[in-house]
Amino acid sequence: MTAHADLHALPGHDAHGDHEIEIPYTVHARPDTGLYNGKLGIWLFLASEVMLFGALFSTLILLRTSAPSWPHGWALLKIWWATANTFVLIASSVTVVLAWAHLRLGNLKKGKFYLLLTLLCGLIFMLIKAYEYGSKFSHGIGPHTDNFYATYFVMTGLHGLHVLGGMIVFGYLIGPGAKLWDKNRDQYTNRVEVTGLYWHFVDLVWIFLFPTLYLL
Amino acid sequence: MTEATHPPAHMGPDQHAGGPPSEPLAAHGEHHHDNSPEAVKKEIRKYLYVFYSLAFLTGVTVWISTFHFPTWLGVTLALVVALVKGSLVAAFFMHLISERRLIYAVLVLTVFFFGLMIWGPWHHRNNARDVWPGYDATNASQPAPPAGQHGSGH
Repeated sequence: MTAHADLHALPGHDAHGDHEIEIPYTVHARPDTGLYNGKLGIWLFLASEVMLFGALFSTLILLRTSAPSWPHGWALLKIWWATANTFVLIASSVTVVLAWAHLRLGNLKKGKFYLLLTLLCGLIFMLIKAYEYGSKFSHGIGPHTDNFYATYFVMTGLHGLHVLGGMIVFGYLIGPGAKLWDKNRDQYTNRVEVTGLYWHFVDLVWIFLFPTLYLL
Repeated sequence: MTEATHPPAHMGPDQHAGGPPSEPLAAHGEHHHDNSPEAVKKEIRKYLYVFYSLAFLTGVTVWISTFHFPTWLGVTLALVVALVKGSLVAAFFMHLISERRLIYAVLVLTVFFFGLMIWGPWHHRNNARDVWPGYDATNASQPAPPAGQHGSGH
């Protein structure tokens, strides 16, 4: 038997010799964790994300409490646009759980509809954020201006990147990723659930960013 | 992401070389969601109530900010409302109200180290220049603008 033929005989290799990775426990729970792997994975990832944003909040506290003076966010930033963005993100959190709920009912059409609404909410959020950034840049204001704007741009910028990342995943789940529904409904539904967990975290970060940067 | 290949009909969906069959997994306390139409519709109603609560609390946060309380009071009120909102999202949308023990364990560790990171600078807020080498207070910020410019950002 040649080495190539041996490769075919191995689990995880198809007849063409392409390597296919079988991801275990994508639907059912592992006996030792009680969770399917994707769910435990996303929670571990979110734990690392808490540390990432925590470091930035920690830096903000250090800079703000030690500064001789610190401007009020409400005097420099557009709080009504940020309030609108808060409503948009909260609404998107609801649409993503509604998508998951309808997929559990076996309704792919409604599930994809609510995923599309979530994606649209993400787009509206980013457009408002782009408008906010644009109005600052047009006045020559940027992260270089002072520590207030440095923290504002870094924290909202990093959060915006997370929104963008979520939008890309939702786009995949609505588009090519939805083919999985025909092969394995439960696995597709679980993918929507873990993406939803990530999206709720992004919402959660904004819930704290909004008063901290804009209202105090 | 590479899709998992489907096992033969006699095998469970997650059964693979070296893995246990699917059936006994449920016996190990697998976390099941009730997918009956009644249960899911009840959940949907719950999600909508949480949404209304979050929207209301967002309004409260903005309303509180218009009073321009002293910083300590403003921070306290804003954080209390944000904590309530965050708890609603975590408990209901992220299902932490009925999650597995392992996830609680991960979160306890996370909250501990997060708290440590926040406690450090807060504890040394009055002597940052002595504690944090390289801290530059001269570049801290522009002077605060005069009051009465609420929402007049560029």
